[in-house]
Amino acid sequence: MSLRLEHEVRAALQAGTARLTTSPDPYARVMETVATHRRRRRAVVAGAGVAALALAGVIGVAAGLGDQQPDRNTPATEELQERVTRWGLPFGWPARGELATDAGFADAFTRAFGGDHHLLYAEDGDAGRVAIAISFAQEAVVFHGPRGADLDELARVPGLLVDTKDVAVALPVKDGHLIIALMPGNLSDAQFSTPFVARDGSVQRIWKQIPVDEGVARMVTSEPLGVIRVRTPAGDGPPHVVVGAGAPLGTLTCSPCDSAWFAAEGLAEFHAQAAAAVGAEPDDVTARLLLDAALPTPLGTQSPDGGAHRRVIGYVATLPSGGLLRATYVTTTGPGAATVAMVEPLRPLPADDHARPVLIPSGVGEPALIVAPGSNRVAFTPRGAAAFLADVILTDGVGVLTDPPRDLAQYRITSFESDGTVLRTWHGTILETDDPLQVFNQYRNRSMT
Amino acid sequence: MALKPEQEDDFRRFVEAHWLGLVRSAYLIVGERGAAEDLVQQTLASVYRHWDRRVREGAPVAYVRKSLVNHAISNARRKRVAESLFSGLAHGGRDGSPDGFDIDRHDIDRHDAYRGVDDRDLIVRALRGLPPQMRAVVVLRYFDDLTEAATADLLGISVGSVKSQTSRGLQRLRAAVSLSQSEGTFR
Repeated sequence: MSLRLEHEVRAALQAGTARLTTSPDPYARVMETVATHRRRRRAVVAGAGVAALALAGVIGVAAGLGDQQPDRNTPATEELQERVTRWGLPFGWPARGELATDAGFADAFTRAFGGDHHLLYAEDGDAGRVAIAISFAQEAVVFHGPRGADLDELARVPGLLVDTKDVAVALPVKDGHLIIALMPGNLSDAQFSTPFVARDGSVQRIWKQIPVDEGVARMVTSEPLGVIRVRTPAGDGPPHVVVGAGAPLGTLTCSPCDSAWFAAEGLAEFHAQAAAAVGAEPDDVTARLLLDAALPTPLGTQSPDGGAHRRVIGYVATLPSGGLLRATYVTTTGPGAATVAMVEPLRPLPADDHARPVLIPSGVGEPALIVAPGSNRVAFTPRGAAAFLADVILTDGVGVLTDPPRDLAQYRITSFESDGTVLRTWHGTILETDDPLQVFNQYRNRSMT
Repeated sequence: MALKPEQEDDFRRFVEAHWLGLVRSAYLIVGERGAAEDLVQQTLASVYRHWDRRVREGAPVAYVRKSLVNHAISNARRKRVAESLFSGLAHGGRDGSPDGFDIDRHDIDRHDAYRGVDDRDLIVRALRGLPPQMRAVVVLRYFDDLTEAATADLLGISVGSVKSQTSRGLQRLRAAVSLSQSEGTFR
């Protein structure tokens, strides 16, 4: 690397920031935030006493219910909501668990991470040494290792952003998975569930109780986790799943990122993940590559100098019930760099509907990608006063809708095979991507350099 | 818990002395002044609680910088997930250098307040296209003037990784400048 280039970069970075001048009173800004943190901690202390009052009877226990709306919070009374709100986000919660209340461990943790991590829970038992903290970046962070391990021997696994009023994690242990959900105060109810995708594509969940002690729900389960959800009176959603050596659900790590990889290794990864998502044995699940197409030119299939290629990859898995899981990725590959972005999550579909079109928007008023496996053309039939939309011609199952309508419900969608045969007709809203398994919440985009 | 008066004064002096430098570092990593200031503000507020101990340990600047950079990288990665789903789709095409580095022409046009393209400005803009950790390595090495060992320690990676990411980062920045010079203008 030439010294001249280094000099140029150095000069450029200095020049690029020269116009930034100091704020009028940075100390006052910082102290304003410090005061906010103090108020939050005081509110937590005050809230703890209130929450200690009997909540039993306020919280309804839902069990054995099918649920088509997994992103909806558990219904709670206004009184409960208010108590949970008083606790605020977990930055000021007290540390719980036998190890967390050990002064030696707590001090060591604070010395090592105090400024960046707030310790919420720690234990040291059959499941090993486990500590849960919330980071300054508002992520749930799990530290885990063998029983009795020193702090610097624990693996640190950052996780999901915590934006609800509980912190739930799941990590592999010797006999299955350890599930821990930390709740405000001494809330006393928590359940977990894994999904079942029925033949008609609907998602059902069976809720199972987790024992709770003083606001800490904890259990070891030998059942497959799948796309687990944990529900407490304070929150409802996917926990921070510590996957060990495996990749987060939906994530493909290609090398090299070419069509051969997506047809073989990529398919195998998808197959394993689809089975894992619903807790099925891989042998009971079949998977296939649904499409591998160039991203249409208007959306940037290839750079003018050939430096980067962009493709659309689709997979579908047939589950033991006959229901389907489909996923779509947009890949960008070039010498020295590659990115795989999941644009349609592991999405449940009816057994006979693998060809259902999906619309991947790129922004308001911007062209959108249409993916319709096996189709050559997609037509839009307006209902009522809806505007005319030209047919979209697809190449290898992908095309571009240059001016997507705001309200897809005003159209019926028909897809055609290459010989003009009607493949199927749908209501327009089927073009919208949903994520009933909440895969996006656990998914990490992969960039490789 | 409030600091003792002398500790409070010490903290105030630290904030006033280092605020601008930290904001500038954060700006190069996060790419927006407002976000950079917010990040520095949050980081320093977090440090305030442990100010006495940090001072006793004797490396407050290094500690603050480490916290700041790691959180900036974390935030940038989250943002990148959302952006990458649609990158290139919204603006109708991207350019690529031989090593796969992308420059969004549309973005450069839209935000460029100047008619000519200045290489220095281009380098700062191109910096935003680097992966978050590589971006941080370049900023720490060439803006904050940290050694390779100090950069590795701060980011929790090996010196070898710092070397390789520095090399690749500079190559990509050079590619951005070369692309500009070969075409003369981005309009």
